[in-house]
Amino acid sequence: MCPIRRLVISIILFLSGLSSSRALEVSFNRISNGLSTNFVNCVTQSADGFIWVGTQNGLQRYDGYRFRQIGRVNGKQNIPALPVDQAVPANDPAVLIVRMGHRIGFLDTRTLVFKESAIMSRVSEIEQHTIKLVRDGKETYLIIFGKEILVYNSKKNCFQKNTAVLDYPSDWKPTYVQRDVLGKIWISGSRGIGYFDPSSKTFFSAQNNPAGLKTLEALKAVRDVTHFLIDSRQRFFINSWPFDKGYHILLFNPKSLTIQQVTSASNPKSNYHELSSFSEQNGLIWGFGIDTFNLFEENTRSFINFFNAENADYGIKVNNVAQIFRDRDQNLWVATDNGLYTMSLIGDHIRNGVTKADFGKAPMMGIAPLSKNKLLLHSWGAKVICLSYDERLALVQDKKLAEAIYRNAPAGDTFFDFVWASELEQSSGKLYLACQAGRLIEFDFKKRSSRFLMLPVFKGQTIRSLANDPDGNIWLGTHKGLLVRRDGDSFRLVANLHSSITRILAAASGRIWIATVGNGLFELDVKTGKVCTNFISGDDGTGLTTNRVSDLIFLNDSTLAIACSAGLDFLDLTTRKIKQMNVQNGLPHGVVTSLTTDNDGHLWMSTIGGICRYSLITNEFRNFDKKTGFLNTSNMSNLMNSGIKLLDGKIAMSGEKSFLIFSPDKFNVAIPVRKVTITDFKLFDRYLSMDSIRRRGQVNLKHDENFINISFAPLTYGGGGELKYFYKLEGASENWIKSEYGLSATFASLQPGDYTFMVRSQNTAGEFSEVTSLDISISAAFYQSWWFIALLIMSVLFSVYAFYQARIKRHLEVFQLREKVARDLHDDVGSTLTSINILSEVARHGLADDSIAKQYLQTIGKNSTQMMESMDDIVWNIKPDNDQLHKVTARMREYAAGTLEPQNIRYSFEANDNIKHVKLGMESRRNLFLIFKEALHNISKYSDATLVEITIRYENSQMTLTISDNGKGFDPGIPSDGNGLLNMRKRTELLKGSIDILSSSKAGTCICLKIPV
Amino acid sequence: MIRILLYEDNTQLREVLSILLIGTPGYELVGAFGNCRNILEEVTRFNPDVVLMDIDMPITSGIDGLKLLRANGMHCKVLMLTVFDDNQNIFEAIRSGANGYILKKTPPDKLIDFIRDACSGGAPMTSSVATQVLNMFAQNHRSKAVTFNLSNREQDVLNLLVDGYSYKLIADKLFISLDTVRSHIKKIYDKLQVNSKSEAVAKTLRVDNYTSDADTSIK
Repeated sequence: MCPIRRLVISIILFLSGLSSSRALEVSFNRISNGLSTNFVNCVTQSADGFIWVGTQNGLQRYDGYRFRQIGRVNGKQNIPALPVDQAVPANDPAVLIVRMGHRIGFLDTRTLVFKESAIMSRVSEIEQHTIKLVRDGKETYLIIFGKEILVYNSKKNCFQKNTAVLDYPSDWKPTYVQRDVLGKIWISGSRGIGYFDPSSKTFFSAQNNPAGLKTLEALKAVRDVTHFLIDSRQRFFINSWPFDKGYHILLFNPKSLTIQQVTSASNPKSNYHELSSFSEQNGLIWGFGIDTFNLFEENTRSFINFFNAENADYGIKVNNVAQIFRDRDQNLWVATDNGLYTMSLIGDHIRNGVTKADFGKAPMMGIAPLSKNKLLLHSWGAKVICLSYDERLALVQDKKLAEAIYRNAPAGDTFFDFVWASELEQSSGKLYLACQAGRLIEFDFKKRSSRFLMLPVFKGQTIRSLANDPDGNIWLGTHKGLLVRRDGDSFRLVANLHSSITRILAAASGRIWIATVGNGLFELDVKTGKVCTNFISGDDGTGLTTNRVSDLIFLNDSTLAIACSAGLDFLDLTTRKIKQMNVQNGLPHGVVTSLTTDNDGHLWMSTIGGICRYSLITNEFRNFDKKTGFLNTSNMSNLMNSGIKLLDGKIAMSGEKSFLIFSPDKFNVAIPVRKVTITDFKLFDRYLSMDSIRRRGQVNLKHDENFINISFAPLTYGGGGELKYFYKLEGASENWIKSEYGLSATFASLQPGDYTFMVRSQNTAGEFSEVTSLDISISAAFYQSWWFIALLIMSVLFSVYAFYQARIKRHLEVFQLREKVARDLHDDVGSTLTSINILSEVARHGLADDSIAKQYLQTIGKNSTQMMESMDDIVWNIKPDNDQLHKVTARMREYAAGTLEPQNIRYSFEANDNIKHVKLGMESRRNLFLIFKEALHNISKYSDATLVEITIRYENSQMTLTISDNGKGFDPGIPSDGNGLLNMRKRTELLKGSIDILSSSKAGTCICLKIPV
Repeated sequence: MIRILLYEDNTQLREVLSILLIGTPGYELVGAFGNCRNILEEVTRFNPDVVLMDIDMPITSGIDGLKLLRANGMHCKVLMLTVFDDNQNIFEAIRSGANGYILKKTPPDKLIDFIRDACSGGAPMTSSVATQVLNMFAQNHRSKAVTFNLSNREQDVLNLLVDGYSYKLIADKLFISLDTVRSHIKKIYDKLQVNSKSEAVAKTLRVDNYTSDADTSIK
């Protein structure tokens, strides 16, 4: 039959059967991010939500964002590295039955462990035959095409013939099997189609029909069935393919017992096509295979192409469709040889259209509402189209109206075909079409005729824009800036703004706003026509983004939204301040081409990135794309550049070659937040088993396993792009981090400790999902643990201490040795000296006073006594205990007593108490004592003093020794014989001190020694 | 006539000291030995008034000899001879019953004076010995066997001795006479000996290695 020409839309579909009339629109979305090959054989979903895709490169798992090849588990090959032909969920929804050619096994999706099953078939050389897995809800069948059907035995883990479950005649050559709602197992084969009754364990067919069932009788003529489908209405779609003919499709209705042949539509460009599978989803019957992707149309009873393969935006270019699968969120997946797609069936709330059929190459300039469900599309060069639409957005052309508008157009004046703008004048109800070169068409609906006007007021300039003023009169703007209004019967010039007028917008306040290309935005007074304000762009970022304004609309009474050639500006009419929005402060796409508001106050924009909606209250932008039914904007041909609100609240947007109409209120639902699933845990580049992590409840890592990557996804496959994701690693940071790239979080160089990884999603309404968390524990290396560090510190301290002690011991040994040597020496020498001393004394007694020998002996005695004293001093000095100053002073006192008392010289020896804590080194002690001795020696020998005062003071790190006598003094200037004073000075130098010697015959002598301590 | 018994292992010094003592009027040297192995017998035989005992002698040290004497109830004055005044053994000797000590470096004329002073109980006490005495009395406070403690005055004297004050300076500083100083020092010595005596007694009540006929009675 010859299809009714539906001009406008090529993917619109009418299903106006006896039941509900429905218009169907389909949009394909390619899922390819990481898919390893385009040859997709099957697609299914496991219990945890992951989508499993079988490809020629093996099995891949999809989580909504990325694919992960499943094959090797921890470096070991698990599932065979073969192309995967089929993957279906087993009885346990966490397990998939995977068929790779002629090998079948069970894959546990949690542990990723694959267990192969055996095929016990009496068919030799199975690999020569096509095999297929079919599940009917309870049993799993393996069909060896044309040979036999095996049933899975879970106890033995093998596929084998099981006549208790399924049986058929030996010559049946079975090809397909399906259980119907009554429990009968239908089997197709070369001899036709029949069923196995499990209760009676008998196979019935047209040839074996003891009960004379009419259904079987009706199927008698059916032969060489390759596959079939029993749909939800119990109808049979049967594909019969006899050897000598092509295949044909039969539709059998058991209720009416009718069989009819059904046509299918194949790809007209291909020579070979085959409809190899049927599938029912969402109440629709799909037929697909090689170069065939059809939908069953109920009213025509035929399989039809439901998309235009040539149309890259809607259709898909495939040769082979292998499977259609519906996931638990009702998304439809299509596995093809050219990739994996999701198929969205768009409801009645949006309608996309192309105008190629009618406008040809002429670009569409805009849409105007004519009445409640009528609109007008006008083009630049191809006149207009009038469309009416119903509540299901089915569009019908009203050609008569379009013709009526252009009847009696002046011949030869093609300028009237180039329509820039159209508007209904509210006061008169007339339709105005603004055309090229100053032409204007005024259409009167009542009279159904137009006036074609060429008014001098327009000076031949193209009229670009039309609008109603608050009184309902039409205003017109031209390409060079002339602003004209209708005044009674004539058109009067209001102002010349010197730049192209793109939009005229009347405000309720008696002002009218004019958007120009090049001169920014003008605010005029309606009555006077005078320009009140001119908003332009400036360098300081306070004015408009640019002076080229393309569209204008009121968001509310006090906010005007302005779309310039870049960015989006909001003008606050009370403060007269402009807020610029661009891609850096929230605007999703840089160029906004049109602005429209809906009845709920949202701002709908067409942008270079697609259709976008802005909500003034929440300050939130939301993008709409192909998945929700809107076009993806990818280039000039599908860029929308104008939008209007229709009279019933719907919004229509148009571009050069396409348009769309939608109900904005149907898009108010925010995507529900989903709890995020952690899909993978990677340690360096190795995947850890999520299943064992789940069972253990947490991840335990060693201290050097600290580079981890955690991937997460919500496992939704519809509008997941609108969700934002936040994660946090508790223990490392307290902030939620927004996941910007690719829904995974990487952590490197983590310190040992306990962490919790938390992730949650947020929808556009701002609601957060539940938090998903995973505990991670990194144990410290032994060298990081507290006991090791403590041990280390202690051993360091101990060795320092031991070293120090050894050093002290060595010093002590040295001292002791020194002391011992000195003492031993002194001991020996001392005894002998004493002997000498005594002997010489004794000898002296026996001699006369004037003998020289007496003098000599005296000298001997004196010398040996001095020697004894010196040795005594040395031994005393060596002793380390004697380094304290008060011990030195004690010895000095003893010496003073020994020197001065025998000569009856009175003396006093005072020392401060604070000298107790002062210490002198060995050399310093010696020098100090010797200076003292020298001084006292001088006093006792030369001074004839009767009183000596000795004081020792210690202040500010300085020791002062003062020795003063009341003797006859001496002249320090005259060098004396003997080295006494010289030695004193020398020793003072060694002490790094200073010595003052004052002496006079009247005052005696005073020696003052100052040394730093 | 004061009878002196000399024990000195250095032959040369022994001879010289003998010469000195023989030549000094008022003093009689009754014996000079190189070791005090047979000290008991010799003291019994010669019955000296003063025993000059070198501290460091082989086989039987001066202190052991002293202890022997005191243990056997011989009360002759014993003065220890030593080279160094910080000899630990001096203090030990005094505690064991010596009456005083004489430094070998003392000039010969002083030597006789010191012997005389020591006999009367005013033997000198040098700073280092005084320090040790002070420490001993300080420790006594803590130990259980507290016998006699120093009086305040004695402590003052002792402290000044530690600081090296001569008897004369001590007298000046404390505004007492020189004789009073000497008597304080004598008392200190006595207290030392008493303290040591009781210990000596305690020791001799146990086995005594040196005497064959241990006379434990104290006269």
